[in-house]
Amino acid sequence: MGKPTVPPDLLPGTLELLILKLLARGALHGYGIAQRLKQVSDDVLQVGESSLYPALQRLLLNGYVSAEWGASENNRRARYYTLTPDGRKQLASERDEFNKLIGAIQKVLQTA
Amino acid sequence: VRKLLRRLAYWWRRRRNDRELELELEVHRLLHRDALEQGGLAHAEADHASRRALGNVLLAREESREAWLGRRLDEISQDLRYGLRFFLRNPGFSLVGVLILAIGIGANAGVFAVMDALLIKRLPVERPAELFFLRQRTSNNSDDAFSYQAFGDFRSAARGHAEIFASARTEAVPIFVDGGPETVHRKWVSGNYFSALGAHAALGRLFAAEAERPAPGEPVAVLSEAYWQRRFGGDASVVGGSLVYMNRPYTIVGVAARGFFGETLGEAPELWLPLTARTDAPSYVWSGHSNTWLRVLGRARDAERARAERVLEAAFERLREQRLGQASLTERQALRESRLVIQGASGGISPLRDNLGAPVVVAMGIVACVLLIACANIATLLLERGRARERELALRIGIGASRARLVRQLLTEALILALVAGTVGLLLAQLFGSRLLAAALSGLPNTVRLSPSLGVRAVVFTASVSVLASVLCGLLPAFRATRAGLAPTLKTSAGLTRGASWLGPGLVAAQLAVSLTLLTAAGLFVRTLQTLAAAPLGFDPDGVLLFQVTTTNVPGREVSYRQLLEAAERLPGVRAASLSAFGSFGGGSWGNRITVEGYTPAPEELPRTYANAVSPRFFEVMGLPVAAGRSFTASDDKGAPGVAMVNQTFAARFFGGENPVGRHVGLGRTAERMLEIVGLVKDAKYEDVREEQRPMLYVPALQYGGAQRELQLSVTPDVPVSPTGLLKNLAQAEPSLAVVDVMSLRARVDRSLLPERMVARVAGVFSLIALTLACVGLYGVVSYAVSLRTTEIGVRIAIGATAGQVIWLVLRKGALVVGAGLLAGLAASWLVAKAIAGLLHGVPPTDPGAFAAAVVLLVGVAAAAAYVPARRAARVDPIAALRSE
Repeated sequence: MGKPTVPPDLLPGTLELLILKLLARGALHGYGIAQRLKQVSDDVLQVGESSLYPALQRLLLNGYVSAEWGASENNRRARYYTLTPDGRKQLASERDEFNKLIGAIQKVLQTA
Repeated sequence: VRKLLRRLAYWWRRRRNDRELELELEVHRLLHRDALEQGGLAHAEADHASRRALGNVLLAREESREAWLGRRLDEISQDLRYGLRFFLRNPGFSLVGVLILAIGIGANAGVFAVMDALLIKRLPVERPAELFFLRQRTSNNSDDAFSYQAFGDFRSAARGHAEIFASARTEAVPIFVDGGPETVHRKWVSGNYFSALGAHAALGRLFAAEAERPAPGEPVAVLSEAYWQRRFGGDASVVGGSLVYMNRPYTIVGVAARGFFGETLGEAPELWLPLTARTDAPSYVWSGHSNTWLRVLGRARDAERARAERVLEAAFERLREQRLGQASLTERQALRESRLVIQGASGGISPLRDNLGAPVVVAMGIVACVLLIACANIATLLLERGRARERELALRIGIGASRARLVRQLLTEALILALVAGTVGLLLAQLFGSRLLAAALSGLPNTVRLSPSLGVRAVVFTASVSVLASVLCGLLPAFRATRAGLAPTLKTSAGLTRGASWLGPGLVAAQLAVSLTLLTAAGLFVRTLQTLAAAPLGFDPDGVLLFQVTTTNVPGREVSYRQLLEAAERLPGVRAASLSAFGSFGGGSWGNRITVEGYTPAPEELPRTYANAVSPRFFEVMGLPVAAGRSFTASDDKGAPGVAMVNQTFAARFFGGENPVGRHVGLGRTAERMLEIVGLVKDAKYEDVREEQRPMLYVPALQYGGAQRELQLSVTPDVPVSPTGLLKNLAQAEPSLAVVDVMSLRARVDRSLLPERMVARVAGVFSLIALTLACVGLYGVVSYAVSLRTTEIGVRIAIGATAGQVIWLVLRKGALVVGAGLLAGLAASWLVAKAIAGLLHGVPPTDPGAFAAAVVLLVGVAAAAAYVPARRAARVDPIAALRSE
């Protein structure tokens, strides 16, 4: 509660894009994804479980990631998510889309 | 698609997935806790903090599930659960509902299976859509039989555009396969028959080009899969073996694929022989057009079809010109009018379809009406349920369910009901369908088989009908039930604020209207059947057994008909025996040109008559009264002067009604031998109850060279005679003769009424079911009206109303409904009667008897249905009624 999370009105699909990007560097479990997101974004982006896990489920459904249980640090069993080839393709195309979109937004902000 | 599969997989393991997610969230928390502890927090504190940080776990789980299944699916499964619960809680209602709908759906499934077999199913061959068959049609007649010569002409004309092939009608004949004679259904076909039809072999090969012309060696034969299984137990070594038919050995080259029955629906041939093997047939079979024994079919690719039709039509024109030269006056008229009709044959050709097609469509309409009534019935039941559930539904609206959601829920319930009923209906159709069909089709000749089965199409049809039924019976009640505003319903005790609804009575009136229509139609069909059954036959059809016989051609044996008759008359229970060349009611007919002494034909008229060759006691056995002169005797044999007998129509046409005894007649255009007419026989029906009176000439069997095809036995009614016992004795008495079919003359006559009987039965049974359902509905509506007015009735009784007055009060309500139904039903009946006029015989479509009977029956049963609740109302205890409020 009260914890800053990814803003709910973030562009739809952005969270999924970020997750795909993070997984591109190697398999991670849910907690790891949340931590890495926080780290990389210098604590700006914090994702809550109620957004993170449904997003992961959507990615599973679309076949962009696969999940497997494995041992984690501290000897706990955690579910690790890996990027699939489909997911890699999706990441590339979404990234271009996103860049285009951001570019467009910035253009608007600068000129209008 | 892969996504859908993943969805399904998820749904399949939804419990496990949910648990996994829960576990995952817990791990997430624990990892967080570990991190906090490493950061220096105490265990307990870290635990607490991690729990706080986790946020809404349930929401995460819910949303995860939604990501997979979507909101829809989740809600649908909820609807299904609610629905099932509803039915389990109301077992009585569910049972009645399922039963009513199951009758409606089952009847539809059953009749559909027949319709499918008869009208829809394609032939089990390659690309059936390319097949067509030839017919010649005149203004009032259609004929699909052609001569061998015509077949050859068509075939050579169409060469390059279409492959033309031909086949004869299937006949029961005796053959010899290792040992004694046995009867099989044999079919003559052209050599290219199998290849052009696109058939496959189950074993060995099917004959082809080598069977096109008579070959020096043994001709070939193909067996049907069913016969091969039944007779040879599926033994593969049968290929290469041989069988003997008509003194001629045939080599069995193969077995046709399972389920292949040729081109004619209803036939079940067991043995196919190339028609070129008929070397013993007389020359008129091969040339000229007097003997039309072949059905001509063809196969053409779509691109060639139009051209093929043109060349075939041209060939038909040439054929007609040829035939015009040799035709009689009446024939010429018909010939000039005749046209070639090329019809698609993807579903096979079928005389059965011509006879039964329209009746089956009518039957389909009838059961569809029954289903409509059943739906209306369920709708009334659901309406009442809806009233009982008003509070429940109002409550659910109160706590936020949308109306659409509730309608969907109620529709889901109707759907569950209909699907269960559909399943039960299919089972009913499976259980009783074949039996009903057997009853409806009883008496088809034994070469005709129709085996409708509940295949994929029938199941798909039933499922769609069920869904349609659920919408029909669920939609109105669903909207009605959810229409209720929230406040008034929750406030009142039993939801009685609204005035009596018109919907329930309206539905009942509609049911009564449809019932009346069905009853009227049933009445008309029954009257048709009665009229035909009561038509005078001219002979006595009872106590006569008919045996179709054929010579087995046992080598070295000549059939002695005289010996056969003597042996037959010695059998116990047999009064008299006779033989004829052509059978009664379905044994074929013989038409011949004649020369009549003292009769001058009109210009261009060529006198013709129907004819038969009969043994001396034929008229006695058949109960055909001899009106003048004498009957044939044993001394009218080959050595004696030629004699003949004629019927009254013959005498009227050729002798102006004078006594024909002593006059002379000759067979053929220029008779070589004149026959003296020795007797006059009363008119009778010969092939069909509906036939026009025809002239008939009889010649003595002993003076006629051809084969005798039917043996008639007049049996005594007091000694029970089993046809099978007679068969055995006959086989012993004359081993060179094989009996291929036994039937009583009565059954033979009945068979000609098959379509009428089928329609009358279906209409009769289902109109009564419809009436019952409608009256159950009426009972329900009147009962409900009584229950609403119990208090009022109590008051009326308390202030002195008599029982009669109360009953009238209630009946008036029912009378209104019945009256409305009656008016609508009479209008509908009138329209339907006009539509089915073509199927009626001897009964005008506006037959007052049928209409009156239907109205009287409906009003009677409806009055009884309304009287029961009215009677109950009259017995209301005023004190109890007043207290209950």
